[in-house]
Amino acid sequence: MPFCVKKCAYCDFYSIAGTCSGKRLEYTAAVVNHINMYHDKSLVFDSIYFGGGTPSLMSPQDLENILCALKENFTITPDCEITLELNPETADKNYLSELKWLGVNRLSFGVQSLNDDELKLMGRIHTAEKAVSSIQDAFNAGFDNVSCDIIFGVPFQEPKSIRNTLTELCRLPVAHISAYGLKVEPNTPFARMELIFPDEDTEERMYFDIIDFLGLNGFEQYEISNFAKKGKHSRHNLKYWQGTEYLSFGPSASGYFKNRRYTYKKDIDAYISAIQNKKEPPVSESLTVSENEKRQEKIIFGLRLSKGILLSEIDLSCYSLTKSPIISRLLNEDYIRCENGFLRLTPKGFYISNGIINEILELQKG
Amino acid sequence: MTKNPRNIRNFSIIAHIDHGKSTLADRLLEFTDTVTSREMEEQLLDNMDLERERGITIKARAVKLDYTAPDGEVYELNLIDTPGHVDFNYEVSRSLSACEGALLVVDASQGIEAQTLANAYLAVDNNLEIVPVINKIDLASADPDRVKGEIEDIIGIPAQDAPCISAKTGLNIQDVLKAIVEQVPPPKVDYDLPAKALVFDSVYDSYRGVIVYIRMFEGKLSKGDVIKMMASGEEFEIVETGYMRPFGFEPCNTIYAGEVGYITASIKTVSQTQVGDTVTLASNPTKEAFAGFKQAQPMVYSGVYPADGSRYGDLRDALSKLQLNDAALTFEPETSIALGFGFRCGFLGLLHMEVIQERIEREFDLDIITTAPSVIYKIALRGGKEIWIDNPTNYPSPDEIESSYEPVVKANIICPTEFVGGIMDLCQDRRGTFVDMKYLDSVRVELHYRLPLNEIIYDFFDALKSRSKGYASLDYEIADYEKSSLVKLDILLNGDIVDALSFIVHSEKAYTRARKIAEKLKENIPRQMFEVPVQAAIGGKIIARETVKAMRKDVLAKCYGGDITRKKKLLEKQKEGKKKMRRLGTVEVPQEAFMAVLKFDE
Repeated sequence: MPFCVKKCAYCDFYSIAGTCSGKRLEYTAAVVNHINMYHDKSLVFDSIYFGGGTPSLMSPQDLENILCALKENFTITPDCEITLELNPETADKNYLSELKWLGVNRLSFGVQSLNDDELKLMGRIHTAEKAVSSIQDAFNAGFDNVSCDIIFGVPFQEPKSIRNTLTELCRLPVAHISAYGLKVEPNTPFARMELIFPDEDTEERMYFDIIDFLGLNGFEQYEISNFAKKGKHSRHNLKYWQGTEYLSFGPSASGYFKNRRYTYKKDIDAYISAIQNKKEPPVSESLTVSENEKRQEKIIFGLRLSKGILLSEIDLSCYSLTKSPIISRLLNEDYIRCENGFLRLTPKGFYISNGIINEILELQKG
Repeated sequence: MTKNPRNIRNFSIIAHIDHGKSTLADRLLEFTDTVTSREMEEQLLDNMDLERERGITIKARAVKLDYTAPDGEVYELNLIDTPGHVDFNYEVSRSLSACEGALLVVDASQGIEAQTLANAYLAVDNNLEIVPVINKIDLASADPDRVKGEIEDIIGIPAQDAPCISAKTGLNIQDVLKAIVEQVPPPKVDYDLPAKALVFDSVYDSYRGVIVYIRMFEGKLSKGDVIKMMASGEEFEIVETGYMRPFGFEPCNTIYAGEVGYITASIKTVSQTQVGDTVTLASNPTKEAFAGFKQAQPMVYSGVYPADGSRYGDLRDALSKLQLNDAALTFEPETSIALGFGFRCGFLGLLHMEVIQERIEREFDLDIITTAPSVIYKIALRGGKEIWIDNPTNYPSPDEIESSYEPVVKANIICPTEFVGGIMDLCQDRRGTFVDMKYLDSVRVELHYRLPLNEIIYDFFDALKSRSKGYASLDYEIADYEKSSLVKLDILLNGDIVDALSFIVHSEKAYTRARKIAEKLKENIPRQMFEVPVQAAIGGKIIARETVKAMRKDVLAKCYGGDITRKKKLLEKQKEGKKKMRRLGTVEVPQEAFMAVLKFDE
């Protein structure tokens, strides 16, 4: 859903700022037609995700049209996880109950922080207070599966502030938290401002604080950046890490279908006009994934999960791992563990996971 | 049918780097209509890319020019270009001895420099007629009269009538041609003597074999003659004789005494026709070869390894091909624990080394890692045996050594007076022994030092330039071996000796250098998953230590939605970066680290 009230200072996702209501209708129609193009009742889906941009800028009618199209064209399981990302500012009580009525059963709030100075600096349009009340409203509207995104490593941020944000979130009926490290992307306002970011010691402390604090409050870390109360893992996100296929609709959206990973161009007009001409929208990327690449993906993304990967699936054994001096050392110093046939990273290992994953890839290749 | 030897002039151009030697050569070619300006590619004589980029001549070149003087007389001018760097002094001397005269080109504002002087002395030693030429008079800072005075005072040749030119704009080039005809003596020739020619260069051509550049001194050589190389003793039958023209080779039937030309004779490598060798007829040899022939002798050695170990064979092919054309390059296989299979290569000097390394990378598209250059040390072992060491790995343990010796050069440095203090400091720091100092004029000084070669081969020249704002110039020649107190310094990464980083150093220098190298390595080795101790040791004793801290954050903890490819790409980018590194045990070392440890003066 490539619309936002306003672009945030750190964000490099594709979206158009302003409400652009006219375009929204046109866009919804395009998405519906795009879905129609894929008509195949033998395709079964157990998760639907509205991401953005700011999906909560879509009217309930827009969302209903899209959901109906999905149900008409594909087989949607009765227990399907239907997630919608919300900006707290755009989530009033009415809207929330409309969502509930439409069948949305999981909400992901872009909270980012519960510190107003940080929110302002990031260019967020909501306050901490609004975020708290929206989450409460969501719960009151009947949502028992609410997720919040938070960002750490924000300029001038101190570990104390992260702890405050988490403390408050844990008091609320929140079932899932995604904690993302801020990465300054080129061509964002953050890249142009000369900001002081927390130093590496502080940033590291924040990451491990988050893990410890959430652990104590009943959140299990099931992925590098994701934490969930029992049974509240994001079914949708897990598909990304586990190499499951998924369809995508909308400009800049990424899909994985019939062995092909693709991303539509970041161009809403090109998207709409292609659909109007009954054509597949232009892609900025399209790659067929070979069997070998699938194995690599299993390592790259499987090791992001706390449970890790089955060694037998990547043709390795605990013994073969120890042949690499670096991996031996990683095992000895508890960055990685080899248990019950699984290879997994510890939180300590997560923090340097790129290097570790590259080591495993290297080993698998040789 | 012979030519009139009275109309032949054989000359070379000597100049300090950047004083306009190649530009003048181009102008001469243009002016004699040997090349039209449309055909003219800037600095035609320097035809290796590398030469053009560095503005220096690495290989000697020669070209025959037809010049019609204003009085209608036609002259055959043979220009023999010379390499312009101390590493190639021997080649310069051979090129000069193929001539009767030399143009001494001096920059009208910079005046005489160490290299000008060194080459001028070489020309004088070879009994050449020196024709001074003042170049770059179009520059605002030009002071031709001062420079003329300098030439007279310092070199001791008349210069008042020297042509004042601008090779760049083409101003007064005719004066240079006139001076060549008038001042350079024609060759003295005797066609009836047995053939005798001097090899001053040779190039390898994949179709014709080696093309040998010669100056005929006595007799003549024709196609079909069986020649003998007097130093190597090898015999060949001449396939072709001819002249070097700007755009290629012009075959002729016979080369006569006095002329400059080439011969081809299905010769396989340039090492069979080394510079300085004498060519004569096998059936009727000349009595005596030219004096002064020297086998090309490498002075500096370094290990050269393919960055990608699987390209060892390609590296061997590259070196073999370069050697076809470069008798001074030597190589033999060596193995390093750290770097795998590679070659120990011998070079004339540091420039020669850099040139070869760059050519391997450019012309053969090979990434290479080179180890610290080393000179050849002489070690007297207990028990009387003497060994030569060009690779620190082979350095004997201290208790086996009776005494050690290192090569020393006579260095000649010219610089403006204001920098003398800084330069003397530098020479002192590099263990130099002051010999003497001469004022060339009121603002410039010539310094003589004896310096250990191993102090020069690292970054001495860079240091000299930086301490003199680029004004100092250096020239040196190998003098002899001196007794010295040497130690082998080992570098350990994560507790393991990296053999490729070991080097030999004077004991007094060991501590400072050890500390600097440890610091350098710390800067150049990126953080890794684990902390990496960097140590320097002599024998088993650690004398310096630094630590590369462990990497802190190395995780993609940002939300990219379902964009899996983007995450994958970020990871791959990181992997690419790692490919450029060498894994030594559990440590990844970037290639730059191997070179960075060679720079000391900062």
